[in-house]
Amino acid sequence: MKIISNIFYYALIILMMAWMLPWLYDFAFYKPSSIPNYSFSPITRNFVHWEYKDGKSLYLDSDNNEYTQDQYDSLLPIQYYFILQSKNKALDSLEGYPINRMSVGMGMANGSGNPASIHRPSLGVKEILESTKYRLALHDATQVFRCKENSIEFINKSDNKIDTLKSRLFTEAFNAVGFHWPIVRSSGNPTSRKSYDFGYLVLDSNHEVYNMVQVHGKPYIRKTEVTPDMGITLLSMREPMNQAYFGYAIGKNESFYLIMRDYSVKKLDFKVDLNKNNFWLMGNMLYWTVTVTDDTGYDLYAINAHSYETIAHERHETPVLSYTKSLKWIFPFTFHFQRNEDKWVYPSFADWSYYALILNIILAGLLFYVKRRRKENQICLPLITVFCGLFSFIPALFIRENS
Amino acid sequence: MNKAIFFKEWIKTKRTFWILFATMVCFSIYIIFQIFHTCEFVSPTRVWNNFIIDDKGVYINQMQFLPLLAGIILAFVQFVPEITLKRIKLTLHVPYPQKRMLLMMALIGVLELTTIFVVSLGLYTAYLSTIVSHEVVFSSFMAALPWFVAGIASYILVSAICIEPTWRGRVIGGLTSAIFLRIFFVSVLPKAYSYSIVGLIIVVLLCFLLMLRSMFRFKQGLQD
Amino acid sequence: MNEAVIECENLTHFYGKRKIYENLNFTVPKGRIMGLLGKNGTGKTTTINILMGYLQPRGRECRIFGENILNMSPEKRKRIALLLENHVQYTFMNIEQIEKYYGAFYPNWNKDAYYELMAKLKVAPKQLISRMSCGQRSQVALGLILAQNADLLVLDDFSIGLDPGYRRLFIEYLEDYTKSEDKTVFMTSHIIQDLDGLVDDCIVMDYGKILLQKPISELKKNFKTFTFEVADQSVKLPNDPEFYHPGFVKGLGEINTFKEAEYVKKVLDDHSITYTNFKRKTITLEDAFVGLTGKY
Repeated sequence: MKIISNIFYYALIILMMAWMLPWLYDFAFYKPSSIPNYSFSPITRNFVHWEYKDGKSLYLDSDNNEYTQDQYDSLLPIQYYFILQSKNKALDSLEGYPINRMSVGMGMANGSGNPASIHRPSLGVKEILESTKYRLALHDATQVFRCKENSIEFINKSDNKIDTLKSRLFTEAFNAVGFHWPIVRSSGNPTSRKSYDFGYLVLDSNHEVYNMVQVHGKPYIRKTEVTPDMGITLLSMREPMNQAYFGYAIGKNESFYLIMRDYSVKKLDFKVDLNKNNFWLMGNMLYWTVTVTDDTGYDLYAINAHSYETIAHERHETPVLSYTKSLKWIFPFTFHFQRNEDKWVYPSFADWSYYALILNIILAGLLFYVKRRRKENQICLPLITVFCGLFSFIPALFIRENS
Repeated sequence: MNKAIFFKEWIKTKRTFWILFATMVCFSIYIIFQIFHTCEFVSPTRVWNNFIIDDKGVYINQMQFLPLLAGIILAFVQFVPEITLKRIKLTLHVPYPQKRMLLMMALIGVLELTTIFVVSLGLYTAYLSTIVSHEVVFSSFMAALPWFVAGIASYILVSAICIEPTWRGRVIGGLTSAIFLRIFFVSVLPKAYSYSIVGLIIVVLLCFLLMLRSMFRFKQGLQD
Repeated sequence: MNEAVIECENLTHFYGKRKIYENLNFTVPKGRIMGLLGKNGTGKTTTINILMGYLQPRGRECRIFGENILNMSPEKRKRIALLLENHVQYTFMNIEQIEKYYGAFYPNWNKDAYYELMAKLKVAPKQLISRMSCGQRSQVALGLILAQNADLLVLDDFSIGLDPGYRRLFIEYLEDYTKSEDKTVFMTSHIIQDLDGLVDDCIVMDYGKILLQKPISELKKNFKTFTFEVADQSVKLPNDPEFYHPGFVKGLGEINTFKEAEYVKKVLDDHSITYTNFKRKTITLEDAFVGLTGKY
C-alpha cells in the first residue's frame, strides 16, 4: 500500500506539472499570431488587408503595395460605403450593380465555424419561433422542442407541459415528406431580433436536409434538394437580409454547399473540415471573402456573391513562432484538459517530442547526483525523469522521503 | 468499533456539519426563491430563456465555490484536532487496523459532505424540474456536479495535507492540490465534463491513498 | 527468568547528522517496572516513539510481545496502554464520551476503575476535557489507562505539569494497579523522586549512549558520593574511569562512583591530592541521577 500510494502521489504531481508548466511557458512567452483582416477588393481585384505592426497600422494588398487609410477605404467601396459617403467619395454603382444604403445593407453576408462550435455540449432542447409577425415584429419563442427517436416534441415554456397536439402535427408533417428519423442535427436562429424567420434546417439520418418552419402554430416542412450522396453532416442557418439562401451545409470530402431559398443546393469551390479548420466568411453584395485556416497557414477565397464562383484564391503560410519551436526541446509532452478544438473537458496528451530526451537525460543525471548527495538512494525518480523531464525533476528536487 | 469511530468523528464535526448544512440549504433555498420570483413577477418563460441564452450554469453558479469551501472547512475541523499535540498517535494506537481507521474517519467526512451536497443540490433540482424540462435540469445538474465533486476532493486532499508531518510536504501537497482542484473549474459550460466526470470521481477516490501516504510518513517520524 | 515484553536490539537513531544513540540494547522483562531516565535531549521520547511505532529507527528494531510494533496486529495492540507526554487526550470529548469511545475497542474494559477515579475529579459529567485543569486531564488519562487493563503500560513523562497532590495520586494508583495485576510498565519521568519506590529497574541515558541499566535497589545501594576538603580548589580532580563527573560543589570536592572509599582515597593519593574530612554523603535517587549524568 505504501508503494501504491507513493506511485499515485508522484503520478499526480507529474501530471499536474505536465499541465501547468507548458501553460506557464505559454503564458510567459506567448505572442499572438493573428491572421490579418482580409477582404477582396473589387478595385484592385485582389485581397487587401490591414494589420497592426511595430506600433502602426499598415494597409496592404496581395502585391505588398502599401496604401494610406483613405486609399484603403476606396479599395473597399461597399465595406466602407458610409465612411466614403461622408467624404462624398462613395460610388453610385459598381460592376453594374447600384450601390446605395439599401443594397449595401441587404447584401451583407457573414458566417463562421470552428471545431469548438460543433464539438460542444448542447442543451437538448431548442427554441422555435412563430415565423409570422405580429404587429410588424417577431415574438420571442414560447415553446421549445426536443428531438426523440421517432418524433419531435414541443414543450410550453409557460407551464412545462408537452403540447401533444403540435407535437403530433409536426411529427406527421415530417413523416409526410419522407423524413428519416431521428433528427441528426438542426440549426436555426431562434431570436426575435431579426426581420424574418426561416425556422430550422434539419438533417435526418439519411443525410437529407429539410426546412422546418412554424406558421400560425402549424408545421411547414419542405425537403431541400440535398441528396444523401452529398453526405451532409453539418448545417448552419444564416438567414441573410436579402433572403437569397437559407444557410450553408458541409458534407463529404469537406465540401461546402449553400442551401438556396428555392431549396436548391449550390456547391462552392472551397473545402472546410470543421473538425480541424476554422473558417469565416465576410461578404457584401458583390464578393464574399472566405478564410479557411489549418495547422500551417490559411487559404483565402473570393466568391462572387451572385454566381457563387470562386474568382480568386491565395494561400498563406503562418510562420512557426520561436517559442513554439523551443517547446519541443523542453517538454517531452503536454497534458491538457481543454483543447481549442472542442468545448469538452477531458484529459489528453499532446505535443509528444523526442527532442526533449536530451534535456531529460541531463536532468536525470543531475537529479541522481543531488539525491546521492542528500543520501536519498533513489533510482526511480531519476529514471522517471528520463521520460518526464522537468515534470518530475522539479518536484523531485523538493520532495524529501527521509528525515 | 465502527460505531465508536463514527461517534468520535460526529462529536468533533457535528457543529460544523450543521452549520455547513444550513448554509448550503439556505443557499439552495435562496436560488429557488430567485427562480420563484422570476416566475411570479415576470414569467416562467424568462427562466427558460436564462438557461437557453446563458450557457454558464445560470442560477446554480452562485454556489460554485461553496462545496469547495465546505470540504476544506470540514477537513480542518476533523483533522486539525488530530494533529495538534500529535493526538493522531492516540487514534492510531487503538486496537483497530490503522489504515482502516484513517479511511473510516475520512469516509465519515465524505458521507457528511455527500449528505449536505445531495440535500442542497436535490432541493434545487427538484424545484427546477417543475419549471423546466428534464434536459435543462440535467444540464444544470451537470454544470454543478464538478463543483460538488471538487468539494469531496478538497476534503480528502486537505485531510492528507493536515496529516502530513512535514511543512515541506504540506506546501508541496497544497500546491499540487490547488492545481488539481483547478480541473473542476476550467469550464462552466454545462455538460462540458460529461466525458470525464466519472474518471475524475475515480481519481478523487484514489486520493484516499494520499491520506494513507501521509500516515505512513507520520509513522516514519519524518520531520522538517 | 521472565519472558521479555520489550526487546530492543542494536537500536540506532539519528536526527539528521545528530546521533541520538547507537547500538542501544535493552529488555524489559514481564512484570517489571522500568524507568527510562536521562537529561533533556538524550532520546527518551525518541525511544518511546520508536517503541510505539511512530518513529522508524535508522538501524535494527524493537519488539513488543515478540512483534515489531510497525507491523503489530490490533490484537497485540490491545495489550498495550499508552500515555502520551502532557496527558494528551481528545479534548473535544467529555469524560463519558471518551470512556464510551475507548471502551468499544478493549474487550477487558474496566468501566468501574475509570469512574472510581473520575468520582474524585469534581467535574460536571458533560464538561469537556479541554475545560479541565492539567491535573484533572492527567486523571482522565490515568483512568483510561487503568480501565484498559493492558499488560504493558507505556507512560511518557506521566508527571509533567502535575502538582504534588496529583502526582502522588497518580503514583499511588499506578503502584497499586501494577503490583496487584503483574503488569509491565515502561515509563519516563523528569521527577526522579517519583520513581523512587515505584520502578524496579532503570536505564539511565546520556547523550549518544546508555550510562547504565540496573535495578533501582542496586543503584541506590551501590552508587556512592564521597565529599572531601582540599586546601587548593584549583587542583584538577582525577578523571578516573570509575568516577562520574568529579568536581567541586560548595567548596567541597565531590566524587561519584560505584567503587568503595578505599579506591577513591587511593586514586586521590596517586594523584598527590591532599584532602581532609573525607566522608560518604547520604544521597537520594535524584542525587545519584545528577551524579551519574552531571550538572549542566
